[in-house]
Amino acid sequence: MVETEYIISIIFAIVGLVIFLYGFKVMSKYRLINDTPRSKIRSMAMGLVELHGNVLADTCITTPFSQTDCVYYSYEIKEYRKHTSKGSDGKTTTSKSWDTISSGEKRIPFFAKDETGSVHVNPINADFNVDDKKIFLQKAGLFGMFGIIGNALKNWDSNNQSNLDIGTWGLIPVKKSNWSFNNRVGDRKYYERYIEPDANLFLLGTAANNPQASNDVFIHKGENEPTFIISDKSEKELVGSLKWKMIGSFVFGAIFFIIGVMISLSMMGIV
Amino acid sequence: MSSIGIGIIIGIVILLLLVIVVGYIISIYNSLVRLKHNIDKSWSNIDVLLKQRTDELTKLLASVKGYMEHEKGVLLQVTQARTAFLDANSVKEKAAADSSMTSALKSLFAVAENYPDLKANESFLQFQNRISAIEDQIADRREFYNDSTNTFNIRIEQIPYVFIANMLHYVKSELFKVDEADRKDVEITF
Repeated sequence: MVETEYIISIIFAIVGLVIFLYGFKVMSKYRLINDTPRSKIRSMAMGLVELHGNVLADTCITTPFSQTDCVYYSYEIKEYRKHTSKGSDGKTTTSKSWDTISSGEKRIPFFAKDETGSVHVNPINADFNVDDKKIFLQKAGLFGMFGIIGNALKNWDSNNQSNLDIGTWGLIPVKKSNWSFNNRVGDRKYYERYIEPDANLFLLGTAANNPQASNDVFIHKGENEPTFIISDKSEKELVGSLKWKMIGSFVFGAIFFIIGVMISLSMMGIV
Repeated sequence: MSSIGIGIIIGIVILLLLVIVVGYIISIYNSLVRLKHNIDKSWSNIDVLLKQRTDELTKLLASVKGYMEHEKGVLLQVTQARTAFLDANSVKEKAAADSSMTSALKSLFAVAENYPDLKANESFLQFQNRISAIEDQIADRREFYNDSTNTFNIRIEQIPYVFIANMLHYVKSELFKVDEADRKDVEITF
């Protein structure tokens, strides 16, 4: 048991240190965005560029739950689960939490446009900064069954076999700010983040000559400058969120680290 | 908790704060260096276009010479502007040369209106369009250069950047100022 507590304290200290150091990574990103002026597509130079504009899409993909047309999406499915564990005193304790059971993402090339022109964007390895756009709740048990049957009847279209996806019929849209208190084990939440055509676009990436087409410039993740951020937020919002992320990393990293070290020291009988 | 425990916590907190302060100073230093290089890079990016415009101008002059023999004043103005640009070294000199070039080009294109044969000349139109596109790009990059310079100039006067900037002997950079009359792009009248 003592060994387990040792391991926990070391994990706490390491995780704290990693979170703390991550704060510096966020800080450098924060500074880079702040220090890079906006370029216009018509006249952007090769190298790191910051573009503000909109998404222009030739083709689209659709999000898995809301079937929204987009050029990028990521999703996460969380399930309300019960956890049972036995403590050192032999007592059984139970806890419940929302656990991620599935996640994924998809991205396709698109164009960024501003008032001066458009440019091809290859989003491979881009760091997408997009907030949750839609959240759905799927209730477990009898209530959930009613939901599924009700939606099945509502969506029934004998001519369109493509919307026979039973898995998404019981999904109830919920607001991001809504806290649910009456959760039952087995309830599921579906989170969707995506960037639609015409959405606002903030882009920080490397402009280079397209090797597949002569006289064509594209934006991608550079070899020398690895920063490649794509977001539908404004620069101000993005910088604001990075600032809080940076402060949070320093504060929580330090707290975790101190807790880890203190547990270790108390185990050794030093404090 | 024993006094040793409290001492250790205080020690760790001070150590972490020191790490943050040192990291912050390094990030300020890196930021200022980056801003300085941004200015140099954005100036080089304008320079490339100014040179490109001068090259296009040489070809343009060759194409109009036969048609505009009686417009020696305008042609001389363009040639002088081109020479002034080639001789310019500092940002201020190049900005002045750029202004003269823009106004000389305006005059040239305005006078070209009186020569229907020239107006119909394919290669003249091509050069004119190319120069006009380069002018637009120069205007954008001038804006970008001034943005970079302005950010740098503000930053080196702000606390805490001013302390590091003084250590690095960084001074304010010149903006690329353009005469009010030359703010408009070259008009294509054909």
